[in-house]
Amino acid sequence: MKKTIHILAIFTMLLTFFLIFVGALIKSTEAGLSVPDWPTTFGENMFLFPYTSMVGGIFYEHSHRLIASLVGFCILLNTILIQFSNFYKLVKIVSLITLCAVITQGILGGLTVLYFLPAWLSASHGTLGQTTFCLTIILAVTTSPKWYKNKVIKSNSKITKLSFVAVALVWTQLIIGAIVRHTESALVALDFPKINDTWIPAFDQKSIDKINYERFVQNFDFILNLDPITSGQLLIHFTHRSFGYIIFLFMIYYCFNLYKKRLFKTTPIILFFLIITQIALGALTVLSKKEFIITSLHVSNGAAILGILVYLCLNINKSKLL
Amino acid sequence: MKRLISILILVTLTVGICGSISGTVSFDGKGPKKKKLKMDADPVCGKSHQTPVYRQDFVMDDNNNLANVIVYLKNIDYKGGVTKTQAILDQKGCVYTPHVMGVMKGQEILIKNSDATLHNIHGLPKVNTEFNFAMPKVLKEKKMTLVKSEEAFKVKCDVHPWMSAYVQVFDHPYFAVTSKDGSYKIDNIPAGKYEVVAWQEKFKDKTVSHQVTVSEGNSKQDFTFVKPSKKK
Repeated sequence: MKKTIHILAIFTMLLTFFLIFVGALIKSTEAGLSVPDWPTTFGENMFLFPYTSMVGGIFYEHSHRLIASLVGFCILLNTILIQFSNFYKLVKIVSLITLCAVITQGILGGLTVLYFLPAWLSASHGTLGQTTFCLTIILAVTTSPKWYKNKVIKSNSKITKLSFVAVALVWTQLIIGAIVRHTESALVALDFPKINDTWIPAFDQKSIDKINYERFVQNFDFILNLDPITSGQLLIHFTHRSFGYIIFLFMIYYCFNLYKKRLFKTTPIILFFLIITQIALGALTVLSKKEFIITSLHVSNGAAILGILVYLCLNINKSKLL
Repeated sequence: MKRLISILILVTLTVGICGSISGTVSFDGKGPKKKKLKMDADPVCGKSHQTPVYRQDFVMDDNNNLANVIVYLKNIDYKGGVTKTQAILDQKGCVYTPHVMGVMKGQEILIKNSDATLHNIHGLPKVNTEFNFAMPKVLKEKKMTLVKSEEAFKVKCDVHPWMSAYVQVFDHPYFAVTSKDGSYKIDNIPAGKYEVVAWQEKFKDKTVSHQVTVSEGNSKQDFTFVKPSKKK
């Protein structure tokens, strides 16, 4: 049974990661309200909605609902199996928390539709999705027989602290990223690495008016109608970019320390590669004016980075958990 | 006494005098390129057009006349009733017809689905309540009203992302939308001096306005939108 639980946990983790990508596609294609009702779909039972009617935005939104239902079912099944197993108490508690998280996530998703996507609700839905993904990673790792057999990693207090700081920094950046997306702050600047031709933007109304006029002129010929921006949006965007650079510098330090201590073979290298990719994807999101695949990859790559950091944190702190 | 009667007659005649404003809205400069709308996301949409469908946010004829411009009188103290005529917004060939419309607050709007596919009607007003409702294939008509006057707001379909329309809500009936040749006419305007405003989708809050004096007969007023230049 433990092997079954572990396989199911891995499957759930991978499916949840895929769900994050599909969820990102919804915002990237502005399909969030293409199915105006919930939990029904155009008045029909969502599981009986015909595939042939899944056109346009409905394809993304309804696929997301179906995959989310499957993730919810897998988490429910795994939680039940874990409760009846002889895994550590901590694993049982985490599985219950994961179940609560996914139920809440489902309700938040429904509420975002019924209340027409208020920014705070949509950003919460995005953030909780990433958090639930982290919980599925914890379950996938702690239900593995190898995790109990493998030696405890001898880390020092510095590495321990860094592991927690890394998770906290990236999780915070994901929250800021969710706020960027749901307050329409992604395209307040259409250039990179500068922001509207400056390194540090001005937030006064005169500067904002000037930016808005330049946007109007610059994009007059394009079908993409860019709305005027506010100083609040500019601040959110600037914060996200700046925090990204801070994380980059921190990760150089963190990965270097992990590599120096020979604590992990390839994981720090993969992590660093993903960080570079994330910055590139962020730049491309802006330069491509939010091309939907690039934007969605930026979200899911962020989830992958967070996932790896959670994995590292678990292993570095294994001695405290066992 | 005679003087009083004369004044009363003059006032009565003036109050009863109505006129109209008409004109053309044009564009000064080189317009954006015509761009085809990609309707691949729904096979029904692609099949419903024999010829390409172009972007609708800027429709200009060969004489630089602009279609889909709302022309209206501003700050009118209108005490009449709401028109009983229905305003119709149709979803046909996966585009909204008309692309731009004006309605009175409280006027009945009939939303039609003339397509063999599903749509959702998602309105994004800032003053009226936001709305979003499904229009599956079987639901061909839906009625609604907007109860507060409001600047032009977007209506879109989240199923078909290229679909958009703009609706402006007035507390009076003195508005018109330019036709393909850029012409408009607003009738039955009581005599007086008015600010007349033209709104175009791409220019948004950068409206063009003129002062017009309306008396018996027609007053001509043209509008010109100028392509923005880099130097402000």
